[in-house]
Amino acid sequence: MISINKEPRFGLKSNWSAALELLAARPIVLMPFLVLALIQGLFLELLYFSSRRPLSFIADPLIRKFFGAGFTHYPAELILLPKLFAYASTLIYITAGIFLTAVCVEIIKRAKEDSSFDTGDIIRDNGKRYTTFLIYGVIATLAVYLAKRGNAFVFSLFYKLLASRLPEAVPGTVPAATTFFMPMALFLTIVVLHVFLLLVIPIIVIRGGTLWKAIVKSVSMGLRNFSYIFPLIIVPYLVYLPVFIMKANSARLAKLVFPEVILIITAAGIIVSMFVDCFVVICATEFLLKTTKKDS
Amino acid sequence: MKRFALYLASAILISFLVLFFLFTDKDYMAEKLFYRAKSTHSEIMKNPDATPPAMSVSVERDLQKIMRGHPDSELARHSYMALAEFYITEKRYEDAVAIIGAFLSEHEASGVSLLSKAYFLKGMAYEKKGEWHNAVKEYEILRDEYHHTPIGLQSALYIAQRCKGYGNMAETLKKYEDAIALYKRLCEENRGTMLGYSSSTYLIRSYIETEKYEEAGSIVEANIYDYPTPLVQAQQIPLIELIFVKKLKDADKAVKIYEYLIKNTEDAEFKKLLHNKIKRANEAKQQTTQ
Repeated sequence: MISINKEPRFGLKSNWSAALELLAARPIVLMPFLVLALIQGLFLELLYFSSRRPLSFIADPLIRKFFGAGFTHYPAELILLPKLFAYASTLIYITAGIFLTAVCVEIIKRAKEDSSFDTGDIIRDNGKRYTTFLIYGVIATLAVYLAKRGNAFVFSLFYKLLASRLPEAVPGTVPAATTFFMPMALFLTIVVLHVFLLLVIPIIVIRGGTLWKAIVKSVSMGLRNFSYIFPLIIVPYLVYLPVFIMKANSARLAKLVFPEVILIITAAGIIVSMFVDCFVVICATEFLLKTTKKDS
Repeated sequence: MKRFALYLASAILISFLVLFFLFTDKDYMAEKLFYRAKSTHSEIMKNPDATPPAMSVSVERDLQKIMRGHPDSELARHSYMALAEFYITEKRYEDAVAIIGAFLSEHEASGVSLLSKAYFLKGMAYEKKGEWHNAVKEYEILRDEYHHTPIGLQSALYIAQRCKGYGNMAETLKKYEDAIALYKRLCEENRGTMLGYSSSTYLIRSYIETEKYEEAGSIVEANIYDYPTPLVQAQQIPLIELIFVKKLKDADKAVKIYEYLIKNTEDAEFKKLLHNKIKRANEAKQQTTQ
């Protein structure tokens, strides 16, 4: 019998319930993502108040230069807020997000081993690998950027084909495409990308080794276990999907309701992603720990 | 851990409140009021006869608050215009005329865009009140002194069109002649510029509305040579069909222009459109000869 070199399957339900149990029993695992949410929250506040004096003295010239003078006034500055927050989030993700994820993985590992630990030691240990995490942050950001461009390219190809074969169908489908299908497709693309990159940080923290080996190992594990990892992470990410779609349609919602709804949606995104990202990291770490245990 | 989470949540909330009270920017608040007033006004315009009184009161109150709180700001000037538009929607034409009069006397150094809008709204208020003679005076100020603004430029044709609606044919013809004279002068003085092209479009419309198709056709042809951009060429296509093919029954002239455009464009889709137009022009010519 030919043996297929796949990692052993631990039920999805057992993985999820183990993650929930860990969160309930050792809520300290949420701490790194709480700190990340705090940093993001502070940045969001600064961006929200950047159109008012005295912050506007610094922010207005920059916004005028890169986005136009119209965006220095209400409510256009709120329409611009998600874009500015996305740039800030990218910076936060690269400089702190990956590092805090690594801290979370280490906490999960120590919690699973039932050993006592000092958070300060964990932060110091992972601090030694900060440059590695920084480089990985840049790589992951680039991968997401390419995925977004690829998504937009596929949609433009689809519409060119539709325009040549069924031109009368184009106007009717554009609203549904832009409000729902494109954000859905982008969401799925990013989840698929996560399947291959999700285990990089857990591998670096748990198994050690270089960044490049961790990326190769994560991609190969993602390929071999796609049918396990994809549902493992997409189900929790579906909790984030409504916020994702609302963020994609925030300008429309602002006109329908009131402009400050954009701030509320962005803040909700921070809170929801804090829990969802933590849960996904716990699930991924559980999977890797069990795989490592089986191998050893 | 729970205490840590509570501290973090408190930090966010306290920092938000501190920033909120420290950064109370009056200009920003005025912009919020203005947006709120305009949004409420847009809602009222959807069904003006079934508006709760509180909505109307809130629009007037918000705009007057801006005018009182920031009398010298650009936002206050826009509030005058917004209030005038609101009064016109509410059929309070006397109030509209009064507020515009106040604006023109207090803010005569405002930008031409706002001043031209003020005269237009004043004319509209008089017109809706049924005082056409007063309305014409305002529109004529707009035409004579602000014809370099978008509202001012179209006012000459607008006066003639409105005159036609009131049924005075002699006066209507006179107004069309005035409009044509103005647009011809502006076309010649500003050839090659945006104002020159805009004037030519209004001139073409004036000629079409007075059934002077030969003159309209010559302006359309001149536009194709004077403004050789894809957008201008695309805008002349329906006019070529209307004037040369349908009205003047001179399909050969239309075909000549289409062929010139085909030689001078690289756009395959545009060439395809022009070939279709040539086909339709030739079909129209055959129907005419039969």
